[in-house]
Amino acid sequence: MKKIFLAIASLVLAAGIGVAAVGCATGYAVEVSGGGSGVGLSNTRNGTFDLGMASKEVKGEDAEGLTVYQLCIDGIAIVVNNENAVEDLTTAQIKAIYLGTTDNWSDVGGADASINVVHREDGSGTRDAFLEKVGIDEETETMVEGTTLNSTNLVMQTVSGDKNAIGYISLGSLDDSLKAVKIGGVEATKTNVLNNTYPLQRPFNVVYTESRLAENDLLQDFLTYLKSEDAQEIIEEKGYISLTSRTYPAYAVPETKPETMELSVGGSTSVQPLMSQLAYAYEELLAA
Amino acid sequence: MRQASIANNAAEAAIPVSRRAAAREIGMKVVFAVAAAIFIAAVIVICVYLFIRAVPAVGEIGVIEFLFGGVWAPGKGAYGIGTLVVGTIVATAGALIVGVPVGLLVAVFMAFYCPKWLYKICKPLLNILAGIPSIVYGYFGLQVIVPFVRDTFGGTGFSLLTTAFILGVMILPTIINISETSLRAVPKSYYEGALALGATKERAIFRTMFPAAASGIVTAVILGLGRAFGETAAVVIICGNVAKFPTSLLDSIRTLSSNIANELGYAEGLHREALIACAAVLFVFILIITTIIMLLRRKKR
Repeated sequence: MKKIFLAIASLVLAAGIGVAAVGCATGYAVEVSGGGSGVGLSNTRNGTFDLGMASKEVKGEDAEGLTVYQLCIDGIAIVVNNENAVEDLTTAQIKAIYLGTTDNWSDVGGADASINVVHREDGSGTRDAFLEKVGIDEETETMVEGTTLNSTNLVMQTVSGDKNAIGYISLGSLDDSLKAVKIGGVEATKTNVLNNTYPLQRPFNVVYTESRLAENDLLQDFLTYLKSEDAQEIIEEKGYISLTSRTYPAYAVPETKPETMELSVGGSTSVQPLMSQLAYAYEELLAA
Repeated sequence: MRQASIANNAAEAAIPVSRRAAAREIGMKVVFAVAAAIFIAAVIVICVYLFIRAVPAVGEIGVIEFLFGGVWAPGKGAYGIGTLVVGTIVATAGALIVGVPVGLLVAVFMAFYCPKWLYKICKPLLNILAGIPSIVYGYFGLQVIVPFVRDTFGGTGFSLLTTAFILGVMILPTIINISETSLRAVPKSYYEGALALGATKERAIFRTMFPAAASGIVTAVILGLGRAFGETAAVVIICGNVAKFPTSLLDSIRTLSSNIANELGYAEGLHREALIACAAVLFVFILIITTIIMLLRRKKR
């Protein structure tokens, strides 16, 4: 019975792969996979990935043999309702709220009302960044149960409608429908992220080896694209923060198109959604 | 002689025509067979795919742990869908409590009391209700019902109550349309007979017409149940997605479908397989519902 199932499944799979292969064979393909920042670094070093992704600083031993390029910064804003009197929280207070040890706004300087915690769903990059920066380890600590929503937009709508709610969103998506609290006195602004005083932030890095770069012309061109104005536009649009210390030239498709047809990119699952968008836009540009 | 030769001529003339017809017949048979094969293949492929992916995952997690475990926390490697199954069942039950009485009363109104001019307005309205995309119901729930529940009853507003109400409204068109049709299908003489025996109009409807249309009405309810059961887009926005056993109407819940919708985008490895197993569980429930409908239909005959 199992054999029959497997036979049917492999037939179906084979057909699917065939169709996919026929569909993809005509153009350039930038394959983006996950695995985590650590996998991104080690697999780039050993040559499995052409380009690695890491949502943390890459230095010291981690950076050995690798060239690092910082794509952008991921900032997290802690948001409350505009009517909420609380203006300022420390990361320790935020952690206590999400672990449930603090459950009333009066404990952190607000009105006497219970705190309605809003989460993002498991696997969301924003959730990852929030947990990492606030210092909650999901494997050992249990967070308070709260409304779980699967998009930044839904979190914003909920917090802007509920005066006792607290949530977290990408800093780039923040608008005046809700209020971002200061973290330890530091306001959540792009300026404070860029001058590194705002704590809830992490870099999005890509890494590669110089030897791979030298032999792979598609990698060279994709990096040119990542460093371009076109890529930065997508990055900003997705709510991430571009480094302002650099200039970003416009991308132009090279006159002789790259000989290499495939590029494998892998690593941090937080960078993965953004990278997929960039890869897609890049493939479109090359195909045009 | 003359007649025979005419018949003969006709037969000769008919041969090429019938051959062409036969060829066309075979051609169409092939077309129909291919169409049927595609449809059957679609069902089988989905079914096989679901179970091939689900069975090893459930095996790894453990059948009891998977079906009855009360903790769904992929970050900790806990994959128990007990709370999700309960969430799905209470949300569906709530939807039926909201939708069935209202739906049946509306069906009675449409079948027996509604003036013709009003019927011409009601029927299209009902079809519009059926045609509203479910995500729109979800947003309506988020913008209107969630704040209303929060301000009136307390809690966060993302609750079993909100979900049951929205689902109840969503299944109204299904329940109304099918039960109205089955009420109309009962011979008028039943109704007139009851009236002639001295029953009031209400009595005739509820004691004579309802029992006569029972199997149709049950089908309507079960189809509504099926719709509420698998509903995803609206529910994921308004249910709160908290994986625990609800203890009050104002508690958040998480359903099987909203769980899949929330996490499938990122899930990898066992987590992904476990979500597919959730889909398989939903599939089994829907299969049971379909079987019940088939049995009811057979009983009717």
